[in-house]
Amino acid sequence: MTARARHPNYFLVWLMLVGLVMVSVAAGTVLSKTAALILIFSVATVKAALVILNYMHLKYEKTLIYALVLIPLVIVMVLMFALFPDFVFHGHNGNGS
Amino acid sequence: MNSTSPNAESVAHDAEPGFWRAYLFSTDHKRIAKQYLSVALFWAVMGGLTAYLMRWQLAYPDTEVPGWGFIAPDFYNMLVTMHGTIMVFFVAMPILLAAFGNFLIPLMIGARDMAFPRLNMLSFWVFALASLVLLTSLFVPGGAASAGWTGYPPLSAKPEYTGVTWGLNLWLLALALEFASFLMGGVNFLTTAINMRAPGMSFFRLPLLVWMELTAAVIFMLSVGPLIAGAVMLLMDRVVGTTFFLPEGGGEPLLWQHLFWFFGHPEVYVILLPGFGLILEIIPVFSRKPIFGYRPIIYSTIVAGALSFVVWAHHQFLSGMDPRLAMPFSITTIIISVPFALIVFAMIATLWRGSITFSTPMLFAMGTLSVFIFGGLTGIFNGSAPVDIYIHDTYFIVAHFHYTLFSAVFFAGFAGLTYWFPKMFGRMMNEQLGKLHFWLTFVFFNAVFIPMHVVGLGGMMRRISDPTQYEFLRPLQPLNQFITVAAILLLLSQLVFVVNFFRSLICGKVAERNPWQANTLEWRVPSPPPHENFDAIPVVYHGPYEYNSSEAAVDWLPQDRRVTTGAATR
Amino acid sequence: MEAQTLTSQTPSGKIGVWWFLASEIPVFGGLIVSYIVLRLGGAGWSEASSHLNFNFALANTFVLLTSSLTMVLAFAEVEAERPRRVGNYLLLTILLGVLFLAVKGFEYAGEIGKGFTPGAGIFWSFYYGMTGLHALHVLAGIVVNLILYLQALSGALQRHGHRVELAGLYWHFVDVVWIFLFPLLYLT
Repeated sequence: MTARARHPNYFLVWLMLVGLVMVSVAAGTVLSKTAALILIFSVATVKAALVILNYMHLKYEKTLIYALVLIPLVIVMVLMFALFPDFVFHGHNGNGS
Repeated sequence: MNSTSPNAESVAHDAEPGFWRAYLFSTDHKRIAKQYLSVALFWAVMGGLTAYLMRWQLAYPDTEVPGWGFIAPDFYNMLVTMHGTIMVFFVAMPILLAAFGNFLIPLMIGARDMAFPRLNMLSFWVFALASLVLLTSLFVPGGAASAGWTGYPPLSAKPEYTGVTWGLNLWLLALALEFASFLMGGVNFLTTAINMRAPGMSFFRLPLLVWMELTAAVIFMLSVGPLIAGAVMLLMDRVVGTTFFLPEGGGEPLLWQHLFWFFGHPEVYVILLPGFGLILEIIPVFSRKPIFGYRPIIYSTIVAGALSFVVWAHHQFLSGMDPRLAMPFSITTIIISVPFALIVFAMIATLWRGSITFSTPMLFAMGTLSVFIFGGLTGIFNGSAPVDIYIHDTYFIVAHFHYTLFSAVFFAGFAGLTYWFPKMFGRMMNEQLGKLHFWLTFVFFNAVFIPMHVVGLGGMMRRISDPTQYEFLRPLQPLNQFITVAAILLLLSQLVFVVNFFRSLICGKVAERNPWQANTLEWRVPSPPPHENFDAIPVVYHGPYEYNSSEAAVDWLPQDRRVTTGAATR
Repeated sequence: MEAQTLTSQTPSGKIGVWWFLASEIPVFGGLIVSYIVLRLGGAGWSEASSHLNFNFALANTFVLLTSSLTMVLAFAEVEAERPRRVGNYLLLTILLGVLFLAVKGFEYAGEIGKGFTPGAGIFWSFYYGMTGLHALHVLAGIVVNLILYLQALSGALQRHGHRVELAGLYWHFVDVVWIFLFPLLYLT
């Protein structure tokens, strides 16, 4: 719509995304289980942020659009934490894997 | 006309559409509103029929229902399921959100149509398809869905448990289509309000109905997702053999309850807020006073909307849910009554020392208010976990939610219909018949639902088809028969409305532009408004409730009338 | 007085699509959250997930990331007003989407062949539920892009270039969902 003078470098973003996939694949073979999990999901979050900010141009948008991304995420988090007592802390079925 | 405004895009389409474009595939928001209204009124009749059949069976079990025949227990289960589904999804939402929202939002904000007129048409046709699928599900072999409107698994997850096969699959499909339709509608409402307000129509000059419709749309769009996911999972359990909700395959039936009520409780406010919005427009007009606390009402609405996402588990105190969740959810439930109490107080304060006219819309608005207060108070009982453990799944709950939802859907709905009927159809409704309809409805409504609290406290369970099977419920049978007689009279009273509606449609007094001397923009255009609504987009100078303003000579001041002496208000 | 209609500076189409995506987040969110809590509270999920075909999924990850790149390049060509290239990039995006679905189909076939049907256990329920819902979204995206491609061929897209941006928003969203599904299912 609006002609934008500023463009992110789309190829560079793609290279970063591919690199991050490699990192998360390698993490499972090198790190301990917990460290790998933390790294893998941090990497996924960074990848998602890269796509949303650059390819979906969120970084050029106004507060309204940011709210439309963040509020649903908060709501999903609320749902998740409310489900923990029933399905995670229920004390049978053994520990998670 | 301002050719640079974004409205110009929607003006571009043809002014005189042919028959098909005008009546079936119309993109005009007013026509679409009437389409929604017609389908919803059809479903209201169906919902009333299910209520009649259930009430007869409860009062006189295993006797032939006049005009129908015997009701077997599994058919009774279908009636219970369909009554809830129809009334919530195919009557309440299409009337309060789709019909009134579509008709009034563009008119009230001074726009020529919705932001996406074709999407609007599509949303109606998807809704019509959902209606058709639901209707079909009543007639497929195996019968209609009969696992309750909440569809709890494992009962709903395996066809063997209810004997219902395609009925329940189609029920899920109908709900999915309905949600898709209202998602499209919600996108339209919100985008329209964000991008198409008339000059001067700042957010704090919007009529409260618009605020309520928008908040409802936001709540709906953000809460329905987990249930859509749940519906997909349930359908997969039934059709492709997954075990999301089946314990023998490692699934969790309780998960469905969380996903369902995560949407199911916000849904209550999706219905309630537009109902409140309707009477918030009506009360100031017939009190000839500005609304009391315009901004606090808006803030309360937003707070209530936010809180509505953290109360859902109060439907599950007896579900086997972790008991540690009971207290936090009790607390949030009781907190959410605060913003609603504030809105109710604002309504009462608006009435205070007003010069009140008890026209039919005002009577129904007062009916909404009084009935809702009653239902809100019993809500505090239910929200408190220790009390709920006793009354859960009894007729006390049934009485409670009919007090809240009947007030929002029917009392407020009738208030809105009688108030905007002149604008929608260009003719006035008959006041005598309207008042008769109100009093009959009000009296018989209370005659049905006050005794229902007593029956519930006596221990009668929801969804049972024959209370006389239980020794301890037999003494309640006279009360059940009283409720049934009152319910039949309540249903018959609606005939007064039907007569009034069609009679007024054909030979009512022709309505002028502004029969109620109201301020909001929809009363500034002819009744009914032409295609594209406004000759010229109005310019707004005031808030919507400037009644008895010292700046105007008469006791009302339309939003687009500029007062030359003195500064503009607000 | 010629006053302007009050609008935000964001075009309606864009606001509409973002609202739609905002309502899609809780759909996938509800499914993913259910998976996470059941998995954290249950046993035997890692064993089940080790039967998945990791190589196919990794390949598909690259396919989808690349399709996001081609999609955004199509939009860049809209802004640069080179309609021919817009069409080419759209076609590339469509083909990558089809490739994704084809790989996914082979993967499903292999798993079902090994007896891991949707009814084989709770992990498999979620596996088919999550990837199936995602695949349906990919399919919808392909259909949208196909319509845009046909419009590009007929020249109709030149007046409605912003549609490429709107379709792109949806396509990238579907990519983002996969960015989370991939580690949730294959890397843990």
